[in-house]
Amino acid sequence: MGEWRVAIFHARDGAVYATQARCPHRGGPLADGLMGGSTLICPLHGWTFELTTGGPLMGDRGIATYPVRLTATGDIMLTLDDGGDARRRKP
Amino acid sequence: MGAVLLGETSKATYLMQAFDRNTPLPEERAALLFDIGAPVALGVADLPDDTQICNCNGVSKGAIRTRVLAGTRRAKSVMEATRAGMGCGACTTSVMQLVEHLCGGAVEGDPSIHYYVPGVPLPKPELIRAIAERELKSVSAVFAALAGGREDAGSKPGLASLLRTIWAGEYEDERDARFINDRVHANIQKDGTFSVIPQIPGGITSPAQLRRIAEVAETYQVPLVKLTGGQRIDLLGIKKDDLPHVWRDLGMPSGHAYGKAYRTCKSCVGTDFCRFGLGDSTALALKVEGRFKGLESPGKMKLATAGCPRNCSEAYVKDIGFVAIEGGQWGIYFGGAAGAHVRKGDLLCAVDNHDDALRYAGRFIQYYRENAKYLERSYGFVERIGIATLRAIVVDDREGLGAGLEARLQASIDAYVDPWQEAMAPVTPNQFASHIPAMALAAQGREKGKG
Repeated sequence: MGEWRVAIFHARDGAVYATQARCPHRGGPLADGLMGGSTLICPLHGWTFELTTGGPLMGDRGIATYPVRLTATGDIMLTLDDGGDARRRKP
Repeated sequence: MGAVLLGETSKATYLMQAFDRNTPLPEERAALLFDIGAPVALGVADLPDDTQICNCNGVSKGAIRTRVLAGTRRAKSVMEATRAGMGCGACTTSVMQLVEHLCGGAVEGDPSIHYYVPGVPLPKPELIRAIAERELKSVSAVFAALAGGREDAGSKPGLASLLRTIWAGEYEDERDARFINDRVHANIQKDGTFSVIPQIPGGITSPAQLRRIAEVAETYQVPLVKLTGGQRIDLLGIKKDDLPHVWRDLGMPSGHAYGKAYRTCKSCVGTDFCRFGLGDSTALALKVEGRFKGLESPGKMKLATAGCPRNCSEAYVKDIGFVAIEGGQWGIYFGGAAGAHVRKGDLLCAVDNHDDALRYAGRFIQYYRENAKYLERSYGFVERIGIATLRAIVVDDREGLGAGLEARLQASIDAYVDPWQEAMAPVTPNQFASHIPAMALAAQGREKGKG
């Protein structure tokens, strides 16, 4: 998204989540993390986050989350803070 | 004021702490230098609150105390909340002792310490039985059948490892159950780049191979080329997107330097050239690596062969070590370690040929794969089971397990595929993409829409 990096997660139960791309601990790539249910574990040091709220489960800081949904045609609709919409085809 | 201890130096830490903290001296002054009767070591109860208990995450005794006083009375919960013991794990025993002490002995019972993974409420033997009986071949199937359909992120890699061990070629591989290192077959580094270590059996290379590695390093502008403790060459700082191209250009199989699996068999020079060599350590190391490469295990396995008891390849402190001794024999050692924990391996027995050495190592590896807790290294497993029991099982075949262990091990060996072959055929689209530009995705989408 231009300069803006967002991590997008598609859970086994069909839920979609979008968060900041980097872990608040040491900048780890959250998109490379381990996800289960609505929990995300950062691959570098195991900081863990609840994806529905961005709240920390292990570690002392949370992450920003963005409203996101899948459309019927499989596009990803993501709302970023600057008020713009981004339309992307689901990979 | 200073002191130098020669010979018996186990009291060095105690003396330094006693000096720093003005600890009252023991009645029996000789106890300053030796353990007389019961050891007079400083227990966790005696340590001041500012003592750092966990060195990986910098957690003090005071921080742990605060957590317990706030009402957390399960050792595992304290560890998760404070991060003590969540790094290398060497302080785990101290943390658990401390929590028990702070709870006045009244620690909350925690049945989950017996579970193989926290997300499935079964100890390993029962879990294996349930998996076999219900033919659960994927991680999601296990969650559905045995955990009320609740996925637990942290349990996935352990379950994936166990399922692949049980089902070998029939395992239903769900990529989301893999830790990143196993999704892209490389070790993630602090900045999101990766470390690539090709297989270099026995630490033996050639001018042509070195030239190829050097060319790859130059082509991809690899920031750091480093020799590893496992006698291999590491290319560090490789971007995720470049991984399949690097593998293709190297033309070498994966060294598996990133997962919970067999890693390497180090070797000394041995009878090839060494004037002290009693046994062909390089030949045995090549056979070991050829047979056990990439095998999943509850903890990583580092092996070594030594051509004589001088042990230049450190075989005494490996998960499995083979040491040549006079008379054409090989001593086999299990449960050694030389990392965060240091332990000399226990001697299993001596054999007089490579085939027996490989057979006993194989039986032990399979027994370890089937019975150890996830992340339990062999040094813990061997202590827990005892070398006498292992000898009875592996060498004497007292319980008649040998044939079954060998057959199941062989099934896994037969199912082995070099994961770097995914360079030719990625398993998932975007498997190696470090990021997906939105415009490119939209364009891909429009293309797909047309077709």
